[in-house]
Amino acid sequence: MLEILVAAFANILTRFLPFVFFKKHAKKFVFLKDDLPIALLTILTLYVIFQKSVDFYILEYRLLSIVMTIIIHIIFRKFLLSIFIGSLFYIYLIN
Amino acid sequence: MKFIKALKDTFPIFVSYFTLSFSFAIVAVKIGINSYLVILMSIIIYSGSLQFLLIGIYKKLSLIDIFIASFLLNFRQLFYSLTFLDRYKNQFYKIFALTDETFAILTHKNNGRKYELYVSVLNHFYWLFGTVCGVIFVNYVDFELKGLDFVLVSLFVVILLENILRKKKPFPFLLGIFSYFIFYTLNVPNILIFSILFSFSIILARHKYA
Repeated sequence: MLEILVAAFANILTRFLPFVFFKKHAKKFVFLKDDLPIALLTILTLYVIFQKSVDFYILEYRLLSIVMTIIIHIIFRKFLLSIFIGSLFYIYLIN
Repeated sequence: MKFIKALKDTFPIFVSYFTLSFSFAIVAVKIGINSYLVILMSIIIYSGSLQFLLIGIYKKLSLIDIFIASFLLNFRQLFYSLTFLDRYKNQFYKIFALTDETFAILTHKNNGRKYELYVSVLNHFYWLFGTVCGVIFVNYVDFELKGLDFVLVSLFVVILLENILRKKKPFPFLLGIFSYFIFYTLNVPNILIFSILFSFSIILARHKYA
């Protein structure tokens, strides 16, 4: 519960801050707009892939399915299709 | 009339919000978050990437770490609000509901205050509706399928890939990999926060000295 409230607060802050006092200084931070999200997404993606509790053989399946997901996504560029096929492939491997 | 127009314009968002929040709800409930809390998240957070992040770090990080991670993850929203500073003066709900998709629609369509409100409310509603349906689905249709956790992994992979393909900038991607594996090999307990702050400061330094 607390975790959710904290996250909600941080999120609301990013949406309201410019209205409160960021007006003058915000232009200085525009350069963060492109680089920061990609760096963060990369870190988060690696974080969900390489959780320490994961066994080696599971990691192997995961990496295979990730390659599959990437290939499908580069060909079709459809979010749901890539996720769907990648996940099905993984579920097939693991069962 | 404005409402019908808003309905039409937001239809593609209905499809993507519904499917995304539906799958969010399923994974969240499966991971052990209380159904009511899952719905609450979609009401008071209302941010896809952040809600998926919360599933990924559920019960693993301290409150301060969650605050930092959430703030930096959604830092980009600051620029949406900034763009709308004059347009959205004192309209608190609209400011709160300014997601990537709502921003995208409203920046290239300026149809007045009512229209803005309809688009904001509709999108928020689609998000909530998908979540509620997902919660109901997972509670009533009892299924146990090994490997469903991969949905989260593939979702992150696809979002990341799409960003890289669109922005065509290798630097932040390589920086992310580098920062993550430094702290991974160092075996620090809080990899996520350390690597986020590390890459944040590198981006700052690079901007200052390059």
